[in-house]
Amino acid sequence: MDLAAARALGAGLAIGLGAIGPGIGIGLLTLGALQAMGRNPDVAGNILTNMILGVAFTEAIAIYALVVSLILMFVGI
Amino acid sequence: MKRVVTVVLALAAVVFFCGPVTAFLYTGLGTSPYGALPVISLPAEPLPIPWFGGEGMTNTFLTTLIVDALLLLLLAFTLRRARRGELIPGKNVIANMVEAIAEALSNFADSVAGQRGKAIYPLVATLFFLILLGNWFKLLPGAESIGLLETPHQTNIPGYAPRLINLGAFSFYTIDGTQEVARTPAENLEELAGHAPEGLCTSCQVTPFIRGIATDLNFTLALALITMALVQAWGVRAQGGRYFQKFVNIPALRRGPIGIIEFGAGFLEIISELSRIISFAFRLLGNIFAGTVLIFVISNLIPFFLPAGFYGLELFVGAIQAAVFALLAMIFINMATVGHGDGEQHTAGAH
Repeated sequence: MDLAAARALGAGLAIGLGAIGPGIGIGLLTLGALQAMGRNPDVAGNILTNMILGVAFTEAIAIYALVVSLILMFVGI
Repeated sequence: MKRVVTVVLALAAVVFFCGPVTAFLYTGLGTSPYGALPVISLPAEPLPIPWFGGEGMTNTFLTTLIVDALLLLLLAFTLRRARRGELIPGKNVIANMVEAIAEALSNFADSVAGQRGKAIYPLVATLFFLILLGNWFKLLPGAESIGLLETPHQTNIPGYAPRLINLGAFSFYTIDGTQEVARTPAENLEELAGHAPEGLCTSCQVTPFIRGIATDLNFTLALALITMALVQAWGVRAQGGRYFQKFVNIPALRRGPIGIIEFGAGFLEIISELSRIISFAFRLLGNIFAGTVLIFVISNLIPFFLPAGFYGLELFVGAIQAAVFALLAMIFINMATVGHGDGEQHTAGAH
């Protein structure tokens, strides 16, 4: 396998595998937040803020994977 | 709030109807509907503008300066209008929007940080407006597409033939996406020798003048460092020397085995604080850079209608990322000022 092929493969695997966990995580977060909002619509604004915060932290993990794949693809090594 | 939504919808509609324009432009110029993929480069590209450090001012730095100036003008305009007593809802849409966002941020700072909200607010609002304007500025037509025609610096990036276009009084060069031209050995040699080839390049790429400021790690890392340094400063200001007990908890050592665990947990706090810098920097960079690449690739695959939807998505992502950055900064500052001194006293009493 030459270097370019290995880099393309590595980049695809990095973001593909790295997005699984955060995908599940964001789904669970939104599930919980929506259920809470459904039960108590009065505090929906507060829950939304905390949900966005949690989603930001979860998404950060996918972003790390994305950065790894971007570096593999676009930065000369 | 309703007005803000209206303005955002109007912007989205304008962006959407820019799609057909590109389609007509392509056919009108008689080129292939499939343009060349713009050059994707993670580091900022230097422009021939003299600046410290030899290589010249980078395009992201140039954009940062423009965005700074625009932000100052915008806020000065809004402030002058507010001083004259024309308050919301006024006739000027942009000033209304700025005021509405500023008010929403101020209310939010109050609800998160209580009495400290007023003091935290300026920093948070500055971060929000700078990032928001920077993210939206790169979506303007011409950004990341109008630039300098030059020989590609990296050998793995394909170069294309230049093509002269005359539109009435204007004439400009573009690259012909259908004609890929390999770099000549002479050009490679000149590149190695360190000076740009004379005259017009034969194998060209477009280095944009304007590039999204958050696509440069320098910008996001600088913001992250400033924010986390200010978080420490706020912690010290609110709690004095006791703030550093969070990291090196010497008093806890006197409390036996539990205290040793608490002392060890302090080092985890140090790591957590450092990882916040990294995650601040890379969250913004990753989201905005990925958005740029997404628009490049989509525009290259189907250059009409479809990119408009993704521009709408980018408007949304840009605003969300600005809000997330500001929100996290606010929450970290609040956490640093509150500390866990009260909790410790409770546990000490319970023991």
